[in-house]
Amino acid sequence: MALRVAKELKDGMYVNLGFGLPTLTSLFIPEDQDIILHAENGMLRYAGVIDDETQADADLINASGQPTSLLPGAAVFDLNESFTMIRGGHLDLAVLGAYQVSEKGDLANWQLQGYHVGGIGGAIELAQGAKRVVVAMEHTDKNGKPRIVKQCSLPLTARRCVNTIITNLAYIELGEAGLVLKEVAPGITPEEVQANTEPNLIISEDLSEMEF
Amino acid sequence: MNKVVVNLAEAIRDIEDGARIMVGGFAASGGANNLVQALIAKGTKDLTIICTGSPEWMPFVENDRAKKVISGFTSHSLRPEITEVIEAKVRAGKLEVETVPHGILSERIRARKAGIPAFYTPIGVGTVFGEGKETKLFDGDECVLERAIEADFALIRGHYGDRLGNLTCRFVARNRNTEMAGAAEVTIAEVEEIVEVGDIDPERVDIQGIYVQRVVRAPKIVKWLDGHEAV
Repeated sequence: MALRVAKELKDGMYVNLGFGLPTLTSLFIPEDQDIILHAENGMLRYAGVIDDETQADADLINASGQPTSLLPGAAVFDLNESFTMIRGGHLDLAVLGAYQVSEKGDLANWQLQGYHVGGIGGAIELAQGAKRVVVAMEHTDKNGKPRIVKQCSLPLTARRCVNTIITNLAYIELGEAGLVLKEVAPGITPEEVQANTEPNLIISEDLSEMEF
Repeated sequence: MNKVVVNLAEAIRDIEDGARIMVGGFAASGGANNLVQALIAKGTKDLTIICTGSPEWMPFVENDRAKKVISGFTSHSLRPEITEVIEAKVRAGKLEVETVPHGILSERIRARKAGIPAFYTPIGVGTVFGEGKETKLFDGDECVLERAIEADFALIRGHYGDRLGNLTCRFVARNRNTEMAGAAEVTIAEVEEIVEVGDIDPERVDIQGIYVQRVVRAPKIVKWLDGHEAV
C-alpha cells in the first residue's frame, strides 16, 4: 500500500503524510525527486524516521512523534504557521488514514463509536485544505466489514473531501459518477473488491493491476 | 526589569484551583514538563487544560486535577489503555472534554493574543465541530464562527531565555509555545539556560519578551509518546 501511495508523489509536490500508515510512504519516496514533506508540527523537508535512539532529538520529531532529521533546504516553524500552510491551500497532497470513506468522499477518521474522546488533530484542515486528498487504509475492518461505505456511520472528519482511496486491495478514484475502480492489487479480482465494498463500484475500462 | 524567578514553585505560586491553563508541547517536543510536574506536586485542582494532546493533559487527568481538557487529541494516539482511562473519567462525569482541531485551536489562541474576538473559518462545517455555532456564507462557502480562547496562565518551554523574557526555541519545540506566549493573562516559561541580555541576537528571538511574564531555569524533560521518559 505504501509503495502504491509513494507513486502518487510527484517531483515538485508539497506533501503531508498523516499519522501512522501513511508515514510508511516516506520510506519509498524516490531520492532523485524533489518531493517536500510537510509535517503538521512544524517542518518542511524532513527525512525518514531515525531508528538509532542515540541519534534521536526530541526537538526534531515528525507529527507521529518519531525522531527524524532535516534535509538541506528545510524550514521549521510553529503550529500557527503550519496550519496557515495547510488551511491556506498551499499543500499539493495530503495522505490520510481513515476508518471509513463514503461513496461521496466523506471521511471519518477521528473517533470510534460510543466514545466521548477522540483524536482529530490536523485532519480536518488537511482534508479540507490540501489540493488533493488520498486516503490510505485497509479495505475492511478487523471484523471483515467494508470501510468504503454508502454513508459513514462514524463521526465525520470532513465532508466530500477524498479524491482517491488506496487500499490493500484496490486503487479507487472518486469521480462525478461515483467510485471508479482503476487498479486492483496483484492477485485480486474486481469481484473480490466489489464484494468487500458497500456502494457499487464503476469498473474502469482501463482497469489494470497495481505496479510498484 | 527581571522576569527570572528563582525556582519552579515560585514560578507557579499564584495558580489557584479552577484556573484555565494553556500548556505548550506537541508529542515529545517542547513540553513545559517541569512546570506541569510542579503544578501536580502543588496539588492544584479543578483545572481547565488547553493543549495539543495527551503528553500535556495526561498528568492532570491521571492525578484527577483537571475538570476539563480542551485538546486536539483527547484520546491517546498510540496507547489505547490511556484512552480507556480518560474515556472512563468522562463517562463517570468526573471530566469534561472538548476535542478541537489543531488549526482551529491555533487560530483561537492567536486571536486572543492578537485582540481579535472571533473569526470565520470553513473548517469543521458539516461535522460535530461546526454544530451549534453561528455560520455565514462567504463567496458561497459556508463558514463557522469561532471565538478567541482565554486562559489565566500559559506554561511554555523555551531553550534560552533572558531576564527581559526573550526566548529562543529549538526546531519543532516551538510548536504551541510561540503561539501561546502572550495569549494568557500570565505566561510562564521554563528554559534550559538563562542567558545575559544581549546574548540572544535580535534576529534570533523566537518569543519576544513582551509576551512573557516569568522565566525559570529547568533542564528539559522529554516524554516520548510510547511512554518512556528521558532527561
